[in-house]
Amino acid sequence: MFDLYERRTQNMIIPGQDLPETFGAGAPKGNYGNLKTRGWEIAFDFNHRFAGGLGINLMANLSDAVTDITKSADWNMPYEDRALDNTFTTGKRYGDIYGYVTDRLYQQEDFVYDANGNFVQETIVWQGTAKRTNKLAGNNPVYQTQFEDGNQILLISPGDVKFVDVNGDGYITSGKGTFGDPGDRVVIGNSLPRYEYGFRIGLDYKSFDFSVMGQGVGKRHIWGAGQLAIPGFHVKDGAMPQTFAGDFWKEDRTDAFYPRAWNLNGANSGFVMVPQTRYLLNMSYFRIKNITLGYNVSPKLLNNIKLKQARVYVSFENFITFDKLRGLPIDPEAISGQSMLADNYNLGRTGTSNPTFKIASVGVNVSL
Amino acid sequence: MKQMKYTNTYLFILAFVVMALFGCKKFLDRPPLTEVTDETAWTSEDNLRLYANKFYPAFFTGYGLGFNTEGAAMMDYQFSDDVFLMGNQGNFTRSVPNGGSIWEMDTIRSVNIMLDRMETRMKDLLEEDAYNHWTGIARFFRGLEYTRLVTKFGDVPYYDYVPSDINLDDLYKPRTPRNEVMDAVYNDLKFALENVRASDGDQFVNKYVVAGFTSRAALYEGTWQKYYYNNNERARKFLELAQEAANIVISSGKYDIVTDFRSLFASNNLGGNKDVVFYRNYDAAAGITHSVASYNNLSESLAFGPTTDLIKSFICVDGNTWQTSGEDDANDFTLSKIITTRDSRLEASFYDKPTPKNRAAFWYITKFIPRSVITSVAAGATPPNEFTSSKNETDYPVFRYAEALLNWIEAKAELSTIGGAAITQADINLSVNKIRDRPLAKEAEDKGVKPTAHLDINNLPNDPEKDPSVPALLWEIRRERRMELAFEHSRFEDLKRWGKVAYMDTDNSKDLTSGGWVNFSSELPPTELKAGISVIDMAGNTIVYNGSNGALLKGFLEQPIQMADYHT
Repeated sequence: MFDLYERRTQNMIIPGQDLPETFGAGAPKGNYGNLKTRGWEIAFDFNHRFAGGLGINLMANLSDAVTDITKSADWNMPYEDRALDNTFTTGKRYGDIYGYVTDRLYQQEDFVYDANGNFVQETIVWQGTAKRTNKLAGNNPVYQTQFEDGNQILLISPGDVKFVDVNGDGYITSGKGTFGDPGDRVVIGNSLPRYEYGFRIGLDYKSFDFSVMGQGVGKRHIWGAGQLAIPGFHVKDGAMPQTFAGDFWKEDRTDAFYPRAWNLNGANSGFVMVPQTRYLLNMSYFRIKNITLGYNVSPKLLNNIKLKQARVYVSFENFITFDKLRGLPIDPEAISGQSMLADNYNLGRTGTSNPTFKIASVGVNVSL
Repeated sequence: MKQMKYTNTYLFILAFVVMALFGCKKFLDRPPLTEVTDETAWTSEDNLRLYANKFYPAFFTGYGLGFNTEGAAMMDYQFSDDVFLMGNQGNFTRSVPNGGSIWEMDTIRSVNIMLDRMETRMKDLLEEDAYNHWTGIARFFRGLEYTRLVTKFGDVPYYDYVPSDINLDDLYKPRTPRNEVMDAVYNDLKFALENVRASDGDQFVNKYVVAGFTSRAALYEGTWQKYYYNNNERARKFLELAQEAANIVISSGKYDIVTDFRSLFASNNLGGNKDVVFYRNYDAAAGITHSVASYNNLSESLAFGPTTDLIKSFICVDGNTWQTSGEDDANDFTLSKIITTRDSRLEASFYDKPTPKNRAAFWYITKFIPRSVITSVAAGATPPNEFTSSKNETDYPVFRYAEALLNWIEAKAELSTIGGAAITQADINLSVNKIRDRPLAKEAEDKGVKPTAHLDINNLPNDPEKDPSVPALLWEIRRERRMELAFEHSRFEDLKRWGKVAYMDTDNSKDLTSGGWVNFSSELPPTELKAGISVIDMAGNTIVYNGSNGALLKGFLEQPIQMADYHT
């Protein structure tokens, strides 16, 4: 079975355009939003019993959809002035994440040193803001002073992230954050799931039955929140995933995946740990939701103890998951902050809401 | 059949008409029954009271709420020449904030809505004096809020109406000149002074609360006009308002100086206290607690303390500065000694021994906690539950009679330099000396603390450190203010309005980058002597610990500059 559809949502109530602070309140909401969703679904069902007595039942489905924002509060602004980071921006794909393209981590040889081995510093002026920063080696290096504070505390040093100068202007910047001037940011992912699939295989042979159910998401990315998703989220939290603790940049571990140790003081984005390709969480996964093996006890035996039917089974739920989270203790199926206990549970930190339980059960079904 | 068809058509039309008349709009557009809305709220004085309540936490923050210490005494006033931070000292704001908590006009909008709804819907509902009272309350808050905005930004767009969300030209209008805004504030505060009730129940703003805060706001503007714009005419206008407002508090006869200093900040119930014009009540039963006292409990470690500059500014018991005092050992800054030679507020503000619990200065601030807690923690007990975490219940005096006296005398002294009446000894006796006559706590007396001698207008202290541009009398009034309000709301704002932010220039004064006087060998366990520790001696020389010169480490504590936390 195959479905192809287009769904239009009209006049959705969404926040109005930002007003200056002089208004004294958030912009009133209004019927500004139009969405257009296009998608397709395939479902598949197959039953067969072989001559030998083996029965097979196969079900599978696959679906995909993308949603575009066809109208939002900023619809009458020129295209190039519309903001990238708003949830609703006319012409943006719903859920798109804008971020930098990560090149690699800076290494010691990227910097220039004086005779004493100290950094040589240089003043970099970009759009009227002068900041003193560590001098980079090579001809026409790309400076990232946008992430610095000019106080020598936030200072690009070996072990920090080096970004790709996408727009080629010689600096890494966020521009105006608009379609017209996105700086070096591009769409690096989308937080809505794509290619959701699921299947169930059921087999039965004589008194035995066996089934496997699995599901997955083909493509989804998020910029996480909280201590499990953001390296260096908060020193005061004390604990951090071993994935971060064992793989951050040090002078004797220059091939690390994560940058040098840094404290973001509870922020999900800061210094060079800003939304970017390298540390975006790949939330695609495949999970075996259920495996069940059952055995129907033969009626002859049951007659002796006056039972109609009895089935013994073993079942495993959520036991096997394949994900691309590099070992971070995050359940790719759980949505950040979503919980049966509270809205915005645990401040929406990724991987800290109710986990999906792994359940192994053994049981007997009996009919009298 | 045909008949039937017509009937159906008529029925259909009828149904349509009925729906069009009575359907949809009214049916779907229903106000919530359990909530008050703009349509249903403006009906009674009680509702106005409830509406105005929401302004209280912002203007009378006190100790803040829970762990939130934004605007709270001590914790949110760490940037001035009174406070020495461990590591790097703070920075001035170097760019105009775009958003965040200081560029915010929510309160202005709220107040304007209140005034607008009262005028359009409640004129006939309220008695005239009730109407004027609540108009006064709203205009009081609007005046204070615009004063706040003006002190931060100078010119700000002024709205005394509720701006529309579709009139963008109005929302983006240019900034209104400071003087125009402050004239409007002047009128608001004047109106409030004349119309707010003298009594409206405990914990509600009354005429004296309005008068107190008006004296604070007007003193700010008056001195700003005098020192920044050199506009004596406008300075006079506001200083006179400050003096007039403070005088309303003073001449009411309702207030007095009768409570020892520490008890003002460490009482569980300031209700009815004659020293207190207005206070914020904390009560665990109502879920209103704070955390500031926990940072004073001698158990919590703290990364900021007094600067040497603040310590040196305390006047000696005989009314002279430490350099000129006749007291024995007036130049001895050892804590156990200095508390008996200085004004009693020094003893009341600090623990009497140096302790590394204050990591910046080693002088531990105990101004905001009861003496009994400090005594028991010093003896080795853990602090009582009520003085840990965010469980503190002590009340905060958001406006003290002492401040009214200080505002009054300062306004009067400033006025005397621009053509006003000269200050007499009687004025000083009524204000500064009144405060100096404050009773001492029994525990302080037992330690040998004595009241400070009166300020004598004919025999002012000769302070070698005095800023030559400030008249001697004003210098002493400012000193009194500094001792009285240390670690509270005023110091940084004071420096700004006096045009004396240069006092915070760490290049000019070593006293800003060192803390309390510490004698490592006699006052602290040897384990505190760590590599890199340094002190500044009386001659201004830095002595760094080198592993063997422990006996020489005697002076104002100067920490090595450390990497500050990264704050977003």
